[in-house]
Parts: sequence; structure tokens; C-alpha cells
Amino acid sequence: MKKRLVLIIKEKTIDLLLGMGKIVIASRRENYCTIRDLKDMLQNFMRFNNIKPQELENLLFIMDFTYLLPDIPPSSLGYIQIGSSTPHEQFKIEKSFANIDLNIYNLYLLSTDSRETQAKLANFIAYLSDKGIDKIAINNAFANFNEEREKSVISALYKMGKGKFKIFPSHIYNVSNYLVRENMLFLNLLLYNEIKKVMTSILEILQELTINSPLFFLQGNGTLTNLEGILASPINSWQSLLASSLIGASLITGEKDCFVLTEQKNNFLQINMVQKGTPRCSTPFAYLHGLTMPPYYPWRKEFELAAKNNDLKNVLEQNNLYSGQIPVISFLDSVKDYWLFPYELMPLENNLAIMAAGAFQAQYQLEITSTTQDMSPDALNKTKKILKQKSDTLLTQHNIQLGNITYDYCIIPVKYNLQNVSTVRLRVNGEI
Amino acid sequence: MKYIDQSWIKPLYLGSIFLGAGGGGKPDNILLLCQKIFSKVLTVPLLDIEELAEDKVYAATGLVGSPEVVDDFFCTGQESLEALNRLSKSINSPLAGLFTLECAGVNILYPLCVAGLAKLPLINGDCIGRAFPELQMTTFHLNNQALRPFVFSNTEKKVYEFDDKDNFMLELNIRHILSQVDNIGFFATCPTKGKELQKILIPHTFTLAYEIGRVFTTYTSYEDMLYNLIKTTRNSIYGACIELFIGTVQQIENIEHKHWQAIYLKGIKDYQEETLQILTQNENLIAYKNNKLAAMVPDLISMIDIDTLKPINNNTISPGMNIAVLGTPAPLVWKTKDALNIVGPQCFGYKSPYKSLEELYFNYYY
Repeated sequence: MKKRLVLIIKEKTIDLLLGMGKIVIASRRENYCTIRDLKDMLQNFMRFNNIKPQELENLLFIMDFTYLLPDIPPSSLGYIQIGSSTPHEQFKIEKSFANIDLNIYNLYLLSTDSRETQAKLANFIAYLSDKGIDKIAINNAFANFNEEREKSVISALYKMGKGKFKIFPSHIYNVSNYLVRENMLFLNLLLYNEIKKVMTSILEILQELTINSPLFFLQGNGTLTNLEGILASPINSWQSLLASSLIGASLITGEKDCFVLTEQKNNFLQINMVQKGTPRCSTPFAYLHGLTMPPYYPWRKEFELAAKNNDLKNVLEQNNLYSGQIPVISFLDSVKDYWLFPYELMPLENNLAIMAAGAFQAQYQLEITSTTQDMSPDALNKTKKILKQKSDTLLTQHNIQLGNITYDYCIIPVKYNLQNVSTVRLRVNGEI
Repeated sequence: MKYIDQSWIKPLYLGSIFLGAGGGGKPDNILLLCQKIFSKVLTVPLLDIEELAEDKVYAATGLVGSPEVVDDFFCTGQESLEALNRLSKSINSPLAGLFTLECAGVNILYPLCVAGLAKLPLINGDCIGRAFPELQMTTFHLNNQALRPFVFSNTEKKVYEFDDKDNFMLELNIRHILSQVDNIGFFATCPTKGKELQKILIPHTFTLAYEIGRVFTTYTSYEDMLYNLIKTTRNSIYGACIELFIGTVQQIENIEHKHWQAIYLKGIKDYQEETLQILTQNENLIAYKNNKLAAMVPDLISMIDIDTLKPINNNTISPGMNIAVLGTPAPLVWKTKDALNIVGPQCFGYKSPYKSLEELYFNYYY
């Protein structure tokens, strides 16, 4: 059986865990000063456990890159807004992350196909070049329905900028809300340089150790992505550590649907939930430092312990999405002392093995969407086929082979244009 | 004559969500625009229907298409001004004021922004009294009036003019064009003299939206809020709202190919061991409590987040949320046989005939 390596990287520690199947057979925790320290750690760990590089089937990273946010150096970026009647100018990120020195240079385009637009773009990139800015975010009104506007600007920017700008499009997020996409764009741009530095060092180390296995990253919604995916949207790693614990707890206890009491902080108990073996995500939005984010992160409910015990029962009952009772897994030893509720309590230590098991269990996910104006069954089937071909191409391009692959299609009619327009979403899930 | 100033905006925003009955769009971006405009314009005159000049021409303005996608677009209000100018030229008459076709969702604050920019008064009335998805579901259609000419500009500032005599055809044509670019447009239509408009419009809906919104900004307990909502709606052409249910959202299910969604709630507080199911398309259409009919369109089925005591629409709800579901009788104009042929349950695909809240809760109403 091939071996898999899990790397749980936090601000000051790195945990290395070796797994076979879904079982952890060896682990080691080390403190580190710079990410270069990983080389010695890995080398020693592999030597000690007699692991040959070619034996490693894959490397799974559980790493919440948002810990880098407070230390982000002053950043400047270009921001191109397309298609609204007016640009959006009050960026909430400046309030939510007041400690980050962020300069945003804004360009507004009503349309993308005029000569005037080309001239505006040329001036804009000349201006950005003068300022030494090399990152540009593009947000397009209705990016979910019409990615062509964004794509035409990207292609013009590549031509004019001769590829020296790193461009972040918004349509890849599959989110129908301009401000949410804007929040994601800014956070991803802020994180990009830092994560790139970290990942470049890690890739160099792996090369030096002749480890060529594919890398996967756990995301906050409990699914895996590859290196390209995490570089395109590092913010998706937010709450990935929690996600790994939730999946792991579900796997170890065999409970596919359950509450999990994960943390106690300042007299507040944090309640999370697992649905069908994966974290229940916060819908319709999640909030990071007050910034509205898409529903890609674990749902949570905070309960004040000073309140009556009976209130906790109410909170559990209100948030129980099932008709019968579901068990409660608790990572907190103290809870069992006052547990008087009819819900079954399952104490469980939240250790590294649970987190690693969560990563082993997590599935790779690819989500793509397409909008169609022809609502006939034939046209919808054709769209589904196109999406499937596109997903297969993407997986092949990234050299990802999935086991037990599932294709989950969802047709989402655009409200008030139910008969005219639908978004077709494909989620491809599979075991790596 | 009343004047709408900055203090009206938040209550109108909240009232618009309540009257949206689950749909109509949540006008967050338009709220920002409205606040910006009112910091400069200060006031917009609000004309009661009785105050309309009989021989002057008034026109409707607003957003057409899918207000649900408005979260993806920043309006200025100028979009409709272009359509209004074109309409005014087309009928060769100046416009004396504006009204909204649909006093709910995005079509309260957006027309208000347009009126502010156009420096025109707004009329205290509309053609629906809630949110409905299609243009023929208006009192214009009920009064055998075509919505013509219908001018709209899309998000790329391209202006279209329709002159269909058939409102169903107009609806089909507009949706077809809208679906090609961004799914929303900004319109001006129904140029009508004051005398005629007095017969067509549902009166005082704008002030009702404001008064409903004021309840949400004033009271901090659910009981006080409900009491005052009942009081406010009772003193209107709608009729007293009624609490249908309080529960936790358990599941939101898409019924594919039927374009319906089902929202399942399990009861809390006085509704322990009970369930409510709401079937929705764009708006909430029908509610079943313990599998028995609890309310149906055209009566309004609105939802309130009982943790924040604010009205919510279907896009904002999520499993685990505690909500109160309220029914409000539709204005009488929608309860005639002719009207039910346009907005009754059958128009949304239900076979069951309409049963009003007053029939369903006879003891409460009489």
C-alpha cells in the first residue's frame, strides 16, 4: 500500500504525519523559523520512518493561509471594474483590515469592446507599471452569466502588458454577488505573494528531496484542491484546519451527521456540524473579519456558557436539520460534566491523527458552471455534456486521476427569468 | 403633499422586503445608491392619488428582469432617466410625476432614486401592492390597459422600445431580450393621465411600505413588533396580517424542472411538534401547516428573522434560521374572479382554487 504524507503547517509548527490508507502510522511535530527548515524535518522524518520518495502517493497540506494576513507588507494593486453603471468605491476591506496598508488603483470600464476601452487599458497598465504594481484584479458585473467581458480584458492585458501582470479574474469564483467577489479578489491578491513565496520554497525543498508526488490542499469546505487551485484562491484555505477535524471526527466515530463541539473560548462554546461526512457550510454567506464571503466555510454557532443549560438544548434543537436527534461529538473534555441533554454525547480527543484522517477522507472537488439561455431538455443536456468535457479536460491538464468519481449537476434557473436563463453547475468529486 | 426625505430610506428598505413576500430582490446596492442620492437631493414629493392633476401625464419606472441579480450591479438611477426621456419624446408630452409598478423589493427604492434624480414627484400607489413576477400581473392589465409604449435600457445602455398591445406578448418579448444581456433592464412605461391613473393604481402602498418598515426600526421585541404590524396592516387596504408559524428552517429543496423551491420549517415556541412547508417560485406562493393549507397567493406570505427582527427574502434564508411566517391579505382588487385569473394560484401552476386568509382564519378576521 502506498504511503501518504500530511503536512499540518501553522504559524510556528509543522506536523508531519505518515498515513497508509486512512490510518496514521507515524507523526512528528517540529517548530520552525523559516519554511526552509522543512527540508531537514522532512529528511529526518523520512529517514526515521524508512520512507522512499517514490513511495509517497501524494502530499496533503492542511494550512490556513489567512494566518499570514496580519503580517502582510504594504500592498498596491490595480482593480478593473467592468459593466456596472458606476464603479464601486467604498472598499470594505480597508475597514475590516485597517492594519493592512493597501492602495487600490481603480479603473472603470462600462464596456470592453471599444477603442476607447483599449486606450484606457493601455494608459492604466502604463500607470501601474510606473508605480511598480504587478497584480490586477478584475471584477465584472454578472461575471457568473457572462465571463466573456472579463476574458476579453484579460487577453488585452496580456497582450499590452506582455505577460508581466498577474491577473485575478472574478468569474472563477462562481459567486453571483459583486461585493463578495470583490472581497475574495482583494484577500486573494493580498495573500498571493506570501503564499507564492511559501510554496516556491516548499517546491524547491521537495525537488531537492526528489519528491515528485502530487500536492493537494484541504479547503475550508472540506474538499481538496491542487496547487493551481490554492494559488488562484488561497482564501479558500480559511478554516481548513477546522474542516479536517470535522471530517476526521465523522470518519473515526462513523457518524455522518452530527454536531461537533470544537472549541471553548472566553466562556463561549463553538458548535459546528457535519452533514453527510463533510462540514456543514455557512449559508448563504460566511463572514471573515466582517467581510462577506461565499458559503465555502464551516458553519458555526457560538453558545454562551453562562446561559442556562436548557438554552444549549434549544440551540441544538433549532440547528438540528434532521427530524430525529443526532449525536454530539465533543472535543472538549469539560462538557461531559454538565451534559444533561437527550442528545448522545461522544467525547473525542481532537488530535493530529483525527485531522490527518480528515485529510485522507476528503475528496477532490472541481466546480464549474455555465449559463444557458435555451431551456429545452436537449439544450440543457448539451450544456451538461460540455461541462463534463471541460471538467475532464481540466483534470487531465492537471494530471489528476480520481477514483469513485461522481458528477453532480444542478440546474439553477435565474429567478424571474425562470423560463429563459439557467445556470448549470457541475461538481465533480472523487478520491485522489 | 408629503415629502420623502433621508429618514424614509431605511423603513422603505425594510418595508420593501416584507411586501416582497419572499421575492422582489433585496435592494442592498440600491440602498447605498439611495443614501448617496438623498444626501444631495434631500426630498422627493409624494403625491397621494387624490392629488394627481387629472390631465397631466405620469409614467411608471423601475427595474425589470430579475431583481435577484441586482447584487451584481451598481446602478446610478440614470439608467431609467434615458428610458424616461425616450418615453416622453415618444408620447410628445412632459411627465408630471412617476410611480412604481410594483411597490415591493427593488422597485421601491430604485424608482425613488430615479424620481430624486429626475426631480419629479412620486405617486403614493402602485399596480401590484406586493411583488409579482410578470408584467401582466398588474392592475393595468386588469383594467384592460396595455403597458405601452414600454421603453427600457439594458446594462449596456442600449435602449429598446416596445409597443405591444398584448401584455403577455410584451412580457415574453422583454424576457427574451433581457436574457441575452445580464437579465435586468431599467424601464419607463404606462404614460397615463392622472384621471385614469386614479382608477388604476392601488392607493397608499408607498406609505404602507414606509409604515411597515417603521415597525421594524422601532420595536425590539417580537411581540411588540407583531402587534404593531397587525395594527399597521389592519389600517390599510390589505387587512390585518396574521402569524402563521414560528419555526426553524430545516431544509430548502429545489424541485428541478418545476422551477419551484420548497422551504421546510419545524416549529418552535408555540408551534412545537408542528411543521410548515412553503412552496415558492420567485415569491412565496403557498404554505401548508401540518400538510393543511395555511395561505396562498395572491395573499402575501412574508418572513421575519426572529433573531434580528428584520424581514427577509428567500435568498437570505438558510437552514437553522429561526423565522416567523406572516400572512397578509392581498388588496381586495386581487380577489375578484377576473383578478384571480391573472394572479391566482392557477397562474403559477397550482390546481387548487384560491382560499383567502379570511376564509382560512375566519375567527381571526371576523
